[in-house]
Amino acid sequence: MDIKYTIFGREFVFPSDIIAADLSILLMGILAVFFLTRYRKWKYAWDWMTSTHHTKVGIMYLAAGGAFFLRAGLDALIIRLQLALPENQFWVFQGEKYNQMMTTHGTTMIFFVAMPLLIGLMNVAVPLQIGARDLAFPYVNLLSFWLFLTGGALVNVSFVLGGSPSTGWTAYSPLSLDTFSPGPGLDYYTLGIQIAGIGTMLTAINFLVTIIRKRAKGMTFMRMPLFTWSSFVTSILILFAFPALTIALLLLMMDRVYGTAFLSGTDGNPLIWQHLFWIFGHPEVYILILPAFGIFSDVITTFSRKNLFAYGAMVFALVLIGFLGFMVWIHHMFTVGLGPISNAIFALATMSIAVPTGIKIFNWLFTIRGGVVRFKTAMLFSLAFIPTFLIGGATGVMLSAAPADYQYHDSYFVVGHFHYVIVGGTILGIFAGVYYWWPKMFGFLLNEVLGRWHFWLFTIGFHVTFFPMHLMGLNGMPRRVYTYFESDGLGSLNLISTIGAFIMAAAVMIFLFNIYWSLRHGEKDTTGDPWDGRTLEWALPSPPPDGNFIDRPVVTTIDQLWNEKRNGNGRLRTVKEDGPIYLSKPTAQPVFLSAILFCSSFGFIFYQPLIQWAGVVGVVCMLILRSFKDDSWKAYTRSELRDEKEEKS
Amino acid sequence: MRHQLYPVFFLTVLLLSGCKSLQVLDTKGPVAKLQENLILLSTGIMLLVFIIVFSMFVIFTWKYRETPQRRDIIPSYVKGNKKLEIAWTVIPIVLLLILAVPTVQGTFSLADSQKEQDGKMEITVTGHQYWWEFEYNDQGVTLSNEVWIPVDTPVVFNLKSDDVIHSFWVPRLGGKKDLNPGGTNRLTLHASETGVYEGKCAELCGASHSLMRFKVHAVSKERYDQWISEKAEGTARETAASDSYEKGKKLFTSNCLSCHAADYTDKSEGPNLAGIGRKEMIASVVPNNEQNMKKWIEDPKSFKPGAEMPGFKELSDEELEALSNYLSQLE
Repeated sequence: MDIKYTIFGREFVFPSDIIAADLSILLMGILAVFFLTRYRKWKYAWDWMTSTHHTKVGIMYLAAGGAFFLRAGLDALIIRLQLALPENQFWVFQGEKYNQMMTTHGTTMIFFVAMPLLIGLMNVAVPLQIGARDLAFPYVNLLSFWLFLTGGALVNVSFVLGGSPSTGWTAYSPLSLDTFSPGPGLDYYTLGIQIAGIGTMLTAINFLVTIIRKRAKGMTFMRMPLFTWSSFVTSILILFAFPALTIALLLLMMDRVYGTAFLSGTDGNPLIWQHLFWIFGHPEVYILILPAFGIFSDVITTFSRKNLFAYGAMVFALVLIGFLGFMVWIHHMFTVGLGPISNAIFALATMSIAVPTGIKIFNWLFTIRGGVVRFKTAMLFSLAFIPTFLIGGATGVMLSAAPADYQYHDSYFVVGHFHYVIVGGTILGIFAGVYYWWPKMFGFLLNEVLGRWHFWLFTIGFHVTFFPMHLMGLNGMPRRVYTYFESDGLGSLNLISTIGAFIMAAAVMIFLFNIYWSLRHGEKDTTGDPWDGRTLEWALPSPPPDGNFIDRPVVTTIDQLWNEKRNGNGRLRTVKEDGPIYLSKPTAQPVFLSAILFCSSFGFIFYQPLIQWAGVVGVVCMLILRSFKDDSWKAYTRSELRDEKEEKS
Repeated sequence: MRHQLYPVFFLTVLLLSGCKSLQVLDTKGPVAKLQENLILLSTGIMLLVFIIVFSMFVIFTWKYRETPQRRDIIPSYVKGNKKLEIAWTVIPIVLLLILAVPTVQGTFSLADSQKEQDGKMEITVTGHQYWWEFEYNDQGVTLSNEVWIPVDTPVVFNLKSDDVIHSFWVPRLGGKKDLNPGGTNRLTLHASETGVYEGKCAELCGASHSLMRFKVHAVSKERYDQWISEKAEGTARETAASDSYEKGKKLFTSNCLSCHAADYTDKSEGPNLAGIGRKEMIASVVPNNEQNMKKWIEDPKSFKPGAEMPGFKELSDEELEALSNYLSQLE
């Protein structure tokens, strides 16, 4: 399939897949430049890129995460096309190329889709839910976004610049060492995730400080909305889990770039990687699911018109799941041969997580019971989550039974399981959150009819794609294979799965069309409270003015706004405050710092010490520059902010 | 209503009959049987939970949906319900305990059976990118991508790796175990029926991970004893020494012997080719016939990406034919 030219006696080979990727990048670049110039939006774009305001940063997270979602979804379609038939030869995606696709799909979906989309929603909603004007460290927040984007760009650009990582998102050593993976792919992986990981840790600190320090008067911990609670617990998990990944990636990078042998099979110990990776990796699963739990809690209460059943138990379950999440990582390593004692202990610890998760499911059901259920799109996604996650949780318990896991492990059963929890939990949660908070972000509603099409196609496609995978696993299909024989009896299941994947792709297309259509014809949100909401964010106009709450609210109960609407005049009581309101100024420093990191990463990827040192000097200079910057805040009077708001509307 | 249930019924039957043929649920040995029983038990418990919760879900969402009559209802505040909350905390714990007991028992019993090694038959398995080496330590026989075992005999596999991590999996005989470089894992398997069982590498090991497969031939004890003693004596059988055979042998000696042995009792860096003539597949990837063999020798990577073997494009068609003819006679 390669295009070959012979010019001046030399043969040039252009692999067709790389050309296609290059062309699509070029096309998108040209289109972006054209439209920015045509509609004179360069200044506008620059304002967004340098804005430290939490809503804008949140929307940028959502946009970038959404773009990566399309890319990683395309990878998924390629994977499914290659696996559709026995001994299939789809384009070039066999062997190494297939491994690259599969790795990019997993890495991107976890680090650059699921996490940033959740962090984006956290950025948009958490400060509003606790009555804050912004996050505690707006500058750091913008920096976090740019670090994430840099990491994502590195991993994504690898395909056209030397080859993507090809060892699965878990990058087990020694396969991931330079002896067995000599190309630059794994270097893109270590650097990309390391840089994005720094951003994620900064975000976690930011949200912890914000939630501890910036709550409105009277908003005690036990009055916080569940999404804020889940963001709080998630931030704690990130803070403790990500350092393990940082160390693991550092060891891998040292081994690859500087010739150490921590993880090698002969002089070091490859199991160090597995332990460190899963000490991070298992909490990571809960980092992905807990914010989704929070979204479901908020959406289900709103659209059932009822308070959350057993609020205290819900919070307790959240914290308990987070805690137990650190105690179970060996269940990813049951077949490593660590012995029956550790396998048995970790099997039991894993099973125990089912208890708090069960509590949550029952509490959601009993929130619905006795309520008035309105089937808006956000609610449909939340409802579909319950049975889907139930299946994912059930297969999770099945996997925890260690002897049975010897059969499931690294088979398609596991692939089915984790897609049921991550797509069925996190992605459904993200869609629910996006439909739910969309009017708050943009001031108009997404279309409900298109939303229902999106929902039904996505949910049906999801089950058609992933349910057969359990059966493939039980029929002996290992994970991460690019082909199977006719005689393996896997053909029809795989074909069904591929059809499902295309149904899901159609659903995502409808979602994109919904955004486009609603942008032009969508219903305007004039009240700021389109869903008859319960929490503080729905007391603000959509979109909220800079500084959100010009007069900060007073909180006396859970679901404060609902309470005011039922028992008061429907408006929040506020604190009388004088003096100026300080808001963070825009800054371009994070953009430049990330650009330096991006460029100097290539020094590590292609082993150029000069570029490496230039990067170090550049970063240190930026840090010095930052330490001399002390005018990050601007004071506004209340009337100024009010006028600005009116000007906008 | 009855008629509407027919497709559901039909699908259930189809699913259950389909499940029976799934390899992990159609096992041929006691290790896999233990795992199968645990899988069925856990599936049963989880199905029960699913049916209960799913029914509650359907009933609640349907019963409490917004209808024109209920449009203006404001549900009253419900704090919680102690009794219910205790119930859905305790009942799952009980269900989990029912699952936990056989889990712990199974974990230890499978591990114990791997400890008692006295008098058990031992085979050393070495994983290579992308092929399997099986050594019968007592008889000095080496096989590649196939292993012969007697039925009704526990066999201890000593698992090692030559390069990256692989994982040894024969679904019909039992769960998998990793091959870690720098260490040895033990896995006891036990076939209770004769037959040929598919084996696979379950841990991503590189470009041809999907093609790293082997076959387990479980045969009767008598047949096994006869087979292994035959192989231990070597295969120095000089068939009617035709010209082509001699030529092929010469080509093999000059081109292949540096990496491949052709005798069961020899060891080599690459796969031992003894027995390749009777195998169904070349390198467990393509059907074994003359045309494929010639193509394989010319360009093995076109079948098995990332394979270490170089292509022998310089061999003439005639030479390839002689070589493949020679190989087809290695039995």
